[in-house]
Amino acid sequence: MIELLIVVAVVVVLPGVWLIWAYNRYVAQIASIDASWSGIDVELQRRHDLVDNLVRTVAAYTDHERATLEAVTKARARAVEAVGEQTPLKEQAQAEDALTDGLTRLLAISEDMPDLKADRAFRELQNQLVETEDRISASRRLYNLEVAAYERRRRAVPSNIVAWLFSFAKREMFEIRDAGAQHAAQVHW
Amino acid sequence: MTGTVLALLGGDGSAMPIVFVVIAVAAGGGALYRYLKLRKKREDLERLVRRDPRLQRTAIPCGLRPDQISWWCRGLPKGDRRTGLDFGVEGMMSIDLGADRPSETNVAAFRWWWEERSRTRNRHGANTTTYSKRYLPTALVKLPFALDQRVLIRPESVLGRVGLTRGGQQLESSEFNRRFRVEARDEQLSVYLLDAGFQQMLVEEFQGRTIEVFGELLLVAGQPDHRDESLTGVVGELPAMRQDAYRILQAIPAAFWRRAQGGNRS
Repeated sequence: MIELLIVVAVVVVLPGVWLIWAYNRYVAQIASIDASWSGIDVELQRRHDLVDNLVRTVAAYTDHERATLEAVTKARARAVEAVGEQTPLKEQAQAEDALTDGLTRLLAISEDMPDLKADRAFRELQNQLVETEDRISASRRLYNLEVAAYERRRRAVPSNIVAWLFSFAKREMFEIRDAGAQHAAQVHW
Repeated sequence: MTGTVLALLGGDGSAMPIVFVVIAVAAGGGALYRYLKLRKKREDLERLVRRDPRLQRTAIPCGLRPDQISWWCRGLPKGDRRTGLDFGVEGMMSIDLGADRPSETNVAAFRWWWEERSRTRNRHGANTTTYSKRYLPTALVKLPFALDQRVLIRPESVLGRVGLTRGGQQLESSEFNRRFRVEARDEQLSVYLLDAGFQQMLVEEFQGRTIEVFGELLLVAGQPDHRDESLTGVVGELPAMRQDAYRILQAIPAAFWRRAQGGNRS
C-alpha cells in the first residue's frame, strides 16, 4: 500500500506541484514585465511633454529654424501616437528614435544661440530631458532583462512544456538608442 | 611531560638556565623583528606621504571613525569582536564626474582589520576560544553628493558561481553574474551604475573585489593585483588602492552621476 502511495506521489502529485509552481512563476514573470513596461511608458510620456515645452521655448527665440521645429513636432506626434498596446514595439522604437534625431538637431540649434543657452527655463528643460532619457534607458534595460529571463524559461526544457500548455506568448525586447548619452554632451551640468 | 623534558636536559635540571636563555633570546628576537618590521612600515608610510604633497596619514579616513565606517559600509567584514584600521593615508584627487569641470574628491586608502573567532575542543572536552586578526586593503572615497540608496557589488559565492545559489540582481552579462553578486533595493540605480562597459571592467580587472556606493561614500575593498614595489608590505598596496578607486570612479557611467546629482537637486 505504501509503495503504491509513493508511486502515485511520484507519478501524479510531484509533477502536479511542479506544474503549479512553474505556472505561477510564469504569471509572476509576466507581471514583472508589465510593471517594467509601465516604467518605460511613464518616462516616454514625460519625454513627450518635455519635448513640447522645449519646442515652444526654442520657438520663442528663433524664426529661422521653422523646418527643424516642425520636424520635431511631427516626430513627437508620431511618437505619441505610437504609445499604445496596439502598436508593435518595433514601430514604437522607430518613432522614438526619430524623435531622438529631431531632438539632437533641436539641441544643436541652441549651441549657436547664446540668449537661448542663457535662458534658465531652457537649461532646466534640457537637464530634465536628459534625466528622463537616462531613466528611459535604465527602465528599458530592466524591462529587457525581465523579457530575457522569461524567454529563457519559455524555451528551456521542461518549462517550455508549461509555456506551450498555457500558451504563454513570446515577448519582444524594446530596443531604442540611448538618447540620454547622445544628448548629455549638448547639456552643461 | 615534565619528566621527559628533564630527561632530555640531563635529568637533574642543571640545564634549565640554558633553556630559559634560549627562550628569552627567541622571544627577544621575535619582538625585535616585529619592532623593526613596524618601524620599516612607518618609514615607508612617511616616505609615501613625503612623495605626494597632497597626501597625509589618517586614522579617520574621509572624516569617519572605524566604528562609523563599520556601520556605514556593509561590504566590509565586521568580524566577531573588534574592528579597526591601520596604516591609512588620504588626499584630494581630481576626478571627472560628468560635470563641466572635474571635482576635487578625498580618496583614502587604508588597511582594514577585524578579529575572527575560532573555537577548538581538546581531548578532555575543554573549549578554547581564540581570535585571529584578518586584514583587507580598502579605499574610501568621499563623493561630492549623496545617494539615497545603496548598491553593493561583492564577489559571488562558490555555489553561486556554478549557478546553484545565485542571488541578487542579475544583469546582461552572464560572466558578470557568475563573478559578482549585486545587492540593491533600487534596481534602477544599479542598472545606471552597471552599464556594459563597467560590467566588463569589473570582470576583467576587479574580480574578487567589493565595491559599494552609499550616501557620500564609495568603497573599494579587496587585494589589488598591483602594488608600489618601492614600498614594503601593506604600505605598497595603499597607492594601488587609491589608483583602483580612481579607475572605478572614472569608469562609472555619466548617467549614474547625473542620477545622483538630479536626486540631490530634487
